[in-house]
Amino acid sequence: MANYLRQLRNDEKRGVYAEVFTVKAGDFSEEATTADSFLVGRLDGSCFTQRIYAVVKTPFPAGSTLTIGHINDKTGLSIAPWFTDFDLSVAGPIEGPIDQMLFAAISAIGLTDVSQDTLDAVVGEVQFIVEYVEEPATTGSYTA
Amino acid sequence: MNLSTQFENNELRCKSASVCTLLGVMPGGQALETGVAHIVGAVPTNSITTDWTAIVDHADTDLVVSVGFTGNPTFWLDNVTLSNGGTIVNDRTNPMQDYFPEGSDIVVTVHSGYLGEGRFRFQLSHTELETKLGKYTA
Repeated sequence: MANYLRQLRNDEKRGVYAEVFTVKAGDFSEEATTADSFLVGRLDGSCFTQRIYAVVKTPFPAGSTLTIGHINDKTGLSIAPWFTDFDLSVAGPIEGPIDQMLFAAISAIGLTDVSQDTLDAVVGEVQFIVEYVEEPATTGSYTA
Repeated sequence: MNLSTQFENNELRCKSASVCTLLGVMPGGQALETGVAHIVGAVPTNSITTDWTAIVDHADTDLVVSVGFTGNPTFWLDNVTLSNGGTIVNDRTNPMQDYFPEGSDIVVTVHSGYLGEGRFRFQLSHTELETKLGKYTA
């Protein structure tokens, strides 16, 4: 048995953090269309995602959907979806994709396929939560 | 009776993680020996584990691995094939509640496969029952 505990920063205690992206009814401009994409935030660079989930705090009207994901190319035109055509009219937390993703650099988080009902809504609030483990350790302590 | 400010019940606890990394050739030029359990990390003292993820990236082949802790080297993964570039996570609809009062080493056995220039990572998240940020567990 080899002991690699002190190599490759294996003994570091990594921080687990969360970022929360909020979308509220009425936040979209009157000029917005269903063909538009929207930037809702950025995910920290050099991190492993751990859990992604959505919480509809206040349901939107029926027919309200959107797709959220990270923008996966440098042109900013393509979104790798976490939730596709996500139904905003049902309250409650919903677990998202659980495959771990490594983000080497700061990544933009965006919305696409936002339905007309979502754009027109006057009531509704949804939050998307991304839990992640930092890849470079900055917590400042060790596990062993 | 209000116990909310006793026994550290009012403390905001940090969730933390151990990230255990293996390379095909470890620092110092040590070739990674297969079929043998290696210590690659640690679970902090007095912690409850909550999630784990295993990931292989940029390896030459798929890997067959076991991951566990001292005394049970197949606790989390038992001879499981990890595809190159893929991840395996615990069943997150079934929360883990494994308690490590004394902490433990995390051990990994690579049964077959070749990492080459790639790496294997095992990430284990835990919540500490005592606030220990900034301290060692072993």
